[in-house]
Amino acid sequence: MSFVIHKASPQTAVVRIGKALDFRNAPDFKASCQEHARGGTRYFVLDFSGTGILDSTGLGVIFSLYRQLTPVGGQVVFASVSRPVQVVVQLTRTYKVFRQYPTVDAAIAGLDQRAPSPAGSAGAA
Amino acid sequence: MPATARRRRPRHGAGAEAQEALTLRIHGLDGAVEQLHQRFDAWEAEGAFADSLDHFGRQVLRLAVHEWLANLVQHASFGRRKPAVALAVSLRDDGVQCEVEDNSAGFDFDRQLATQEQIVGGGRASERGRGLLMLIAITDDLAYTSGGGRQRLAFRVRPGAPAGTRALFSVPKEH
Repeated sequence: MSFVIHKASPQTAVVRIGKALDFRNAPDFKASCQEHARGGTRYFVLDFSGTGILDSTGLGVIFSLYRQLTPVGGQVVFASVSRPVQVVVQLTRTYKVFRQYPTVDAAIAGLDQRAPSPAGSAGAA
Repeated sequence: MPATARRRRPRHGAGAEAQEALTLRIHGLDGAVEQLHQRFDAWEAEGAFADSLDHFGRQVLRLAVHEWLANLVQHASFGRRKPAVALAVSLRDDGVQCEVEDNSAGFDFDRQLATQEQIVGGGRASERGRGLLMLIAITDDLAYTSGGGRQRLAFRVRPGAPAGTRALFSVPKEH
């Protein structure tokens, strides 16, 4: 059960989440993304195609990444959101924070069109 | 050790509401979460929930049990006992009644819940400790009881999206 990260551009990484992002692999996910962020990656596209499990711990490390990137104008967006992940997004109102795209390519294109500015809503999600 | 799973009819006198029950017993925590999801995959493939839960409700049920099992795997103390977890899902016309029993030492549910409430309410930037809040937000009639060396979590899941969803994570305010 592992995620795969690849760079779409010098500042953009695509993370294929795979079957699950939960308490079992959340620490590894966080560490890997932090390493990329330290290396200059500012935009993370989380590819949830085929993802069956996203639990509160997994969602927590996504928010942790978001908080790390926001002050430097970065973004975290969701792509190819599977039905189980969509349920979690609805339950936690995460749709208010993370823009969703139908595909990874659409997400990358969307990031390219948006000016890199501090993102985030004015309050709690 | 492999999980055993079987479907059983309600006992005589169980009531007209309970049509059928799905059960799963897990022995040992290694691979417990994988066993849980494999069994849920099988139940879904069989259409076991068809008369009780829609797709959204099925995902809520799976997530709720996952969150609880994650809590047990990460935090429960079993002493020298081999961990044993028993899941029973009773199918009804208006959703399911779920019970998860385990042989851990138990914990102070209300105190842990209060701790998590403080984390969220205080806007602390922590990604940990929201499992119980998630459970409460997405289920109905949640109750945790312990006694006789057995701990029991019970809750109901109804079709559709729960009414009481909430924001469990805070985000930085716009500058």
